[in-house]
Order: sequence, then C-alpha cells, then structure tokens
Amino acid sequence: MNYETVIGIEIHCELKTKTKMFSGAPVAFGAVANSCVNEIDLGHPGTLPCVNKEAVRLAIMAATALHCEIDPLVKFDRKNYYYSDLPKGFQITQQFHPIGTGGYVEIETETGSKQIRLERIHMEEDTAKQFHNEEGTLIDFNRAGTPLVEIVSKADIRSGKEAAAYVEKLRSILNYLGVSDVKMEEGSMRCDVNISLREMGSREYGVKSEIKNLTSIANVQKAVEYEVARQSEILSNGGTIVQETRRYDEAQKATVSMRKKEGNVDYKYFPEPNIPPIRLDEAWIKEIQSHLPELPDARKARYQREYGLNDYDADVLVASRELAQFFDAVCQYTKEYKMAANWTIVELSAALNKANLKASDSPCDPKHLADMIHMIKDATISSKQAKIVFEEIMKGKDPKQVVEEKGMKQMSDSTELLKMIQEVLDNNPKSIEDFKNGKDRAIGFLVGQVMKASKGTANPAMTNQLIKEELAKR
Amino acid sequence: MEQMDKAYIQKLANQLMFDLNDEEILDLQEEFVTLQKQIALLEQIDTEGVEEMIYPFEAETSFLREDEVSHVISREDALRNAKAVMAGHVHVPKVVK
Repeated sequence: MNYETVIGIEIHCELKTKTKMFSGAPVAFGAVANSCVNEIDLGHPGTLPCVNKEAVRLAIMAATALHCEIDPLVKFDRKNYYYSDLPKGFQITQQFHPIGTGGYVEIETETGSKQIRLERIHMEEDTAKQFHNEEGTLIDFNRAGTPLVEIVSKADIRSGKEAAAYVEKLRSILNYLGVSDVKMEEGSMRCDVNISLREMGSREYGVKSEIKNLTSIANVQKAVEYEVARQSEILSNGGTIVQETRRYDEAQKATVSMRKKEGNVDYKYFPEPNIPPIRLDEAWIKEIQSHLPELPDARKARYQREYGLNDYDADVLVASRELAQFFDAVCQYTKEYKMAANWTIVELSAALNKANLKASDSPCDPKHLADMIHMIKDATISSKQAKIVFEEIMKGKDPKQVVEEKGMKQMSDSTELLKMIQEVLDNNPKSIEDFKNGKDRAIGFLVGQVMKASKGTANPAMTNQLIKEELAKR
Repeated sequence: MEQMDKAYIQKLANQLMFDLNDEEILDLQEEFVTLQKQIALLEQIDTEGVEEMIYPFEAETSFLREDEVSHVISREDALRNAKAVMAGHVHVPKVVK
C-alpha cells in the first residue's frame, strides 16, 4: 500500500520581553528557582492579569512577517485543565480570537518552493517548569506567565525534510525579527509535530500521533521519518494506529509512547472575564508593520541582486543572522563582495567555530577584514600571506600593522623584482632551454626559484608575468 | 449556604491561605450583609431574554501595560504557602510515571 504522510506543526516561542505576559514580574532564563514571580504568576486569589504591550508588539511583528491578517481587537480566553505546572488551574490564551490568522511560510523543497499555510498565531502564557525525580516533582514557577506565541500550521507538510525546512525557516524569520531567542535546546522554541498517514489519493485524515520533546531541527526530521516508518509498518500489517502523544528519545533514535489520548480533552474554553477586549490603535499597528527588520528571504535577494553572490553563498550567509550582519558590515568598507563573502563563509566561520564564538562577538573588526581584502586585491600580500594576516586580525589587530611588523609586504616593485629574475635566469640556463623546447613546466620551477630568493615576498602573479616576458627576450 | 459567622470566614480564609484578624473578619461580615442586600435587589430584575455579559463593561478598552519590571515577591514569600519545599522548588507527588 502506498501512503501519504500528513503533518501539521505547532510551535511555541517565548517572546523576548522583560516581564511576563500578564504581570510585572521579570522574565529570566536560568535565574534562581522561584525568584522571578509575583502573586499574579502564582494565581493567588484576588489578582488581576494586565496585558504586556511589548508582547503584543512582538506578536504583531511575527504575525506580519508570516503574512497573517491582524485582529485589532485583542481578546483572551481561559483553557481549563488541572496540572501542577499551571497554578491558576487555567491558562490564559487566545482560543476564539487569535491575533493573527491565515498567513504562510515559504520553504524550499527538492521540487521548488512550497507554501505551508498557517492556521493561526496567538498569544498565551507559559506554564511552570517541572523536574521529576524519584521522590516527586519539583516546580519552578519562574517560567509561569512568560509570554508565548503559538504558531499553528495547516496539515500541509508531507515529509520529514519538509517538516525540518518549515521549522528552520520559521526559526530564521523569528530570529531575524528579534522577537524570540528561538533556542530549541533551551526550550525558548518548542515544537510539537502531528503525524498521520493516509492512503494515497484519500482525502480523509488517518489517526495521528503527536510528537513532543524535539530539541533540534535535525531531530524533527529524524522523529518524523521514524514515525512514518513505524506507522506505515503497522498499517501495512493490517493494524490500526492508536491516537497518542509520543516523545523523541535521542538515545534510542526512536519515538516512544508518553500517553494515550482518550478522545479529545475538553478544556472548557470560555472568554477571560478579567481582561476586557482591548482595541489596538491602527496607527500603532501600522507603525510596527512598517518598521520590520529585513527578513531572510529579502536579505538573500539583496545579496544576489546588489552583491552578485551566487545562491549557495547567499544561503550560507543568510542562514545565520549574526554572520550576515558581519558580512554586511564588511561590505560597508569594500566593494569586493565575492571575496568578502568567501572570507566570511570560509575562514571567519571556521575561526569562530573553533573559538566557539558567535559572529556578533567576533574579535575581528569588519573594517580590518575589508582592508586585508584590499591588500590581497592590490597584490600587497599574497593569498598565502593573507592566511597568516587573518590569524592576527582575528586577534583584533590591524592588517596594515601586521604586514609592517612581519615584514610581509609582497615584492611588487618591478625593477627590484626584475633584477632578481635576471639573476635566477642567469643561474638556470637549463630551464631556459627546456622552455624553448616547449616544456611549460619550466616556468613553474623558475617562479619557485624567485620566490625562494625573495623569501616568499615576491608577488607570484607579477613574477610569472615578468618571467614570461624575459624568456621571450632571450 | 453556611452562615457567614466568624468560624466560617476563618475556615474560608484558611483554605485560601489568608491570615485574617478579628477586625478584618468583622469588616467582611458587614460587607457581606451589604452584598446580600444588593444581590436581593438584582434578583428582582426581570432578565428574561437578556443575553448574559462576559465582561463587567461593554466598552472596549485600550490600555496595555509597559514592559517594565514592577513587582516581584521574595523567594521566601513565593514558597511560603507550599506544603513541601525541596532545593528552592515546590515539591509535589510525582506527576509522571
């Protein structure tokens, strides 16, 4: 039997605010447990939630970048359930009136670009963090009330690769917007994947499983691929899929059952009476929408259009906002865009990786890299020497000073170089003869001799040219 | 409904983990009498065919809170009502298998 994979993804992102969604208590990752809370976060009787303006602004930015329509009337609802990570016994969310609807994320697939449509994007509050040990469960309420956006896709995704591409793209967009830290490993971006299979050509959905605990984009793909194999094996053997929540176990490289879902849980949603509907100022919304930072697709297009970069280079740069920003900074000082891209992608990335640094913390001044590129371009230094200079500018040094100190200047003075070449030619009559007999390799040998005589400072291109000219005269 | 006597108010306060002194209990009792009278008045209104309200006011609002830290309680206070505390965390019976 041939099955079609049907995937929908829910993503929760913590918004980068200073305070909680509904209280003035601070938001802090990694703070001492239960030190960033107040009565509202703990659900004490008599407290009232108060909506954080910055959280709304960030949600509008995200919704706009994802091509959603914004609802200017903000309303919240209660989702009721009883669990130890939820102090009030309900979560304040936007069930009936999400701030953004419609919209899409465009991903690249093997067969071209594809739009993954979005169901909605809404604001809500995070729950407390729990740690389970043998004796019980420990609760840290610092995370309780942290502003979140939940982004729900339609079931448009058809493979593990597409699922990974979708999450990657969304993460990149949210990162460029600066609305969230989007760190999957730290939980500031969390991803739940719903997967079901159906007979090819069927329009009805099969029974789904929901996968949680996906701490990296690579795991999204692996988990989906494992789950597709698991479900299709069950179906092929005439079995039925049980609706359940599973988690991805990294050690086993498999999804394992967490809990069976018995029908749909009734969350008894109703409007949150403590937050009257809030009408957003249309001018404020427009103001936010007209000041969105450049998004990854636009930046890639700009790199190709204005800097003439190829698809691959543009993709590599854009994949990391920090690296792209560094590249942009270098391009403020040079028009050698291709060289700037190469040095950023290859040498700079490698050096940063080795030092475990982000491009935003690079010890190398973008202007210094641009200066060094100019020195290569005008043959002040050879590309071999440039590698040594680069090591020094990665320590914050000025390339001009490095070249000076190391006496590295390439010999590009033709009179001096010519003198050296004449000497080498006089000492190597055999090579001249070889060359006259059509052995082009002789030139390489002669260039090598000049390099040796100049202790590596001779400009290789110029040396090559001058030797050819001199040989022609002899 | 149980009488709003001192013992009952004390019991409710305990359940909600409040401390109330005698004066506060007296205030609450007086307030409750007023409330009961008002409810009796409201109950006389014919609401047949009137849709229930979700919010106390029909008018939309526009207020949003600025994102500035305004109030945080101490860790001791945060944990004070917890039955059990372990390593600065609220400790409850294990909620997962």
